[in-house]
Amino acid sequence: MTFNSYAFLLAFLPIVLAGYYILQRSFASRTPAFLWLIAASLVFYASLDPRYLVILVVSVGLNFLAAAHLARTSMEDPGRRRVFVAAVVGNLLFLGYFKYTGLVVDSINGLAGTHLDVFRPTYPTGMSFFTFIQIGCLVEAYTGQVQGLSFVKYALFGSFFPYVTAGPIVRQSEIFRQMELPAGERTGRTPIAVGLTLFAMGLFKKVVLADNIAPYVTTLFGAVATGAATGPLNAWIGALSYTLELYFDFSGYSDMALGLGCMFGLRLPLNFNSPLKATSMIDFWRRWHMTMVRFFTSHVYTPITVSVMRRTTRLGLPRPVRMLIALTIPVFVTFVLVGLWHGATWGFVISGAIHGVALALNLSWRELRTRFAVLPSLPGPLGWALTMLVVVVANVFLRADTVQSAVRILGMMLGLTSAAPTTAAQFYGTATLLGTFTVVPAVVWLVLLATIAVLFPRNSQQILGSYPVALPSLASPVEPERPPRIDWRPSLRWAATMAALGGVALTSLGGPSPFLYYQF
Amino acid sequence: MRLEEVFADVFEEPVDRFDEESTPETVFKWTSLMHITLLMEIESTYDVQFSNSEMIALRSLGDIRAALARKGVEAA
Repeated sequence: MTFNSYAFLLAFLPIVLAGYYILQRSFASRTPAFLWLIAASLVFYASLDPRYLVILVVSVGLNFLAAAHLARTSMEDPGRRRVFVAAVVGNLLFLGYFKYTGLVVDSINGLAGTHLDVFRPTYPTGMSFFTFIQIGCLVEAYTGQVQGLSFVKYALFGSFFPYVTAGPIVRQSEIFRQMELPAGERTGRTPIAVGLTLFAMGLFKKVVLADNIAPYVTTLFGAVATGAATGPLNAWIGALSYTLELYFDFSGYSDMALGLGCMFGLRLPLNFNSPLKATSMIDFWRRWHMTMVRFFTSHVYTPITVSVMRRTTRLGLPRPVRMLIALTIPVFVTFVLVGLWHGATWGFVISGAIHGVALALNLSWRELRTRFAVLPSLPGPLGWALTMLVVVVANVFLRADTVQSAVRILGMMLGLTSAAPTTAAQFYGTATLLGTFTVVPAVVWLVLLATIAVLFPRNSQQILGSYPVALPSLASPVEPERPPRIDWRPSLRWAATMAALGGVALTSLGGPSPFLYYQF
Repeated sequence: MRLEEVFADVFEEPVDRFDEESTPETVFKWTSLMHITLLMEIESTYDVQFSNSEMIALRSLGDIRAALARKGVEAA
């Protein structure tokens, strides 16, 4: 059962929502309503695969014990640090076992020529998301920022179904603070209307936009995986289509997650802010998967940068050299790890490394430009084109079945192929529109999705801007308002529009189409 | 030196731009690299040292003032 299944939309969500509001109005205490949500979250997670439930329950249970111990003991307690380190390392080993066992065994077999074969565990959906969320809580408990931890609240924080499978990666303070507010301040008709609107937008993005361009992505990447080749135009159509599929899939998921949070009175942090409008790499990573960036910035980039800056200062290196090292090494290492987090293959690592190099260049360029005025500022359209080029190239490594396939696709995009020339119509197929016009659907969907992602004046949360649907996650520059100003209002006209959008999405639901980020 | 003055120096902005609620979400120049530069500047100004976990956890001017107070520094 995923957000885009009939079981979720027509049974699970209405029942859970109704039960939550009834319990909230029937009891003075919040506990019964929170217990209901915990039960619902466990049912939701078990519906993906009952075996996974044990892993989630063990993870939440053990992390609660560790976080509660850290929150309870005084900062001077000598055993505190040991518990903290053991809990974080335990989480990473637990995650690593499920995520990287295959890679380790294959690497040993490859290097030593052995034929080791061990049990390869199935990766539980979203395990890295609920693990990261809880590691964040452990760090904050260790630094004394978590007070009054109750098991019921923690269990809901660790398993809440809107984010347990693919984020956003929330912080404990964001959730616990809202749990303390009276129900009347968090829930009601407006949060339900706003949440449903955002959910409908997300569902439309996923099942109408992402799922309709997905087959053409498979056409290219599937063909290349079997050894076939094609010309530059078709390679570009497929590569661009994958970036758009990934964007609408994950931003659609995130809208749905945030919309669900609103309905249940627990707003979640913003995850996407029109990343395909970004005019630099720095800008891109302030807009794409923002809570993942926030997590890696805090827990990976910051410690590495601090260590690098302290060491280079101790070594007495000149300030410009220290600055250059601090600007480049930590961001590169962080993004290689981001790549490795996406999956245990070289394609993911290379994808991360491409982003790391591009970001290091962008950071250094910005520093040189602002401090020494030796470099010009790139015009917006050029910055945008360069940024998109990096993103599309890196995404080819994310999607291709092997590094060799990715390199071949990039070669085809550059025209380095001996393949017999095929037109887009021959490669992707045609369809007849309105019984008259012959079109290439791959191109129609590509143009439509690119126009929406790049040129549509407002994104989901901006349309709902008068009703804050998300908590801030990363600061964004204030953008000039582009007409037309589309503003959601609780009106009949908007209700009809959203019902139509949701209706189209509901009737488009095909077979199971899991979210791309479930695998991460 | 008041804590707001250290912020003003590091971010090259007027002192009155900062208060207890200032965070990376409200101060656009407060990037991840500036965060570390800021905390290292505070370390040398008040002669204290922050651990890695403190560097991660301190996310507002108020948080930093409280952490300094715990280290015996009253950064008024």
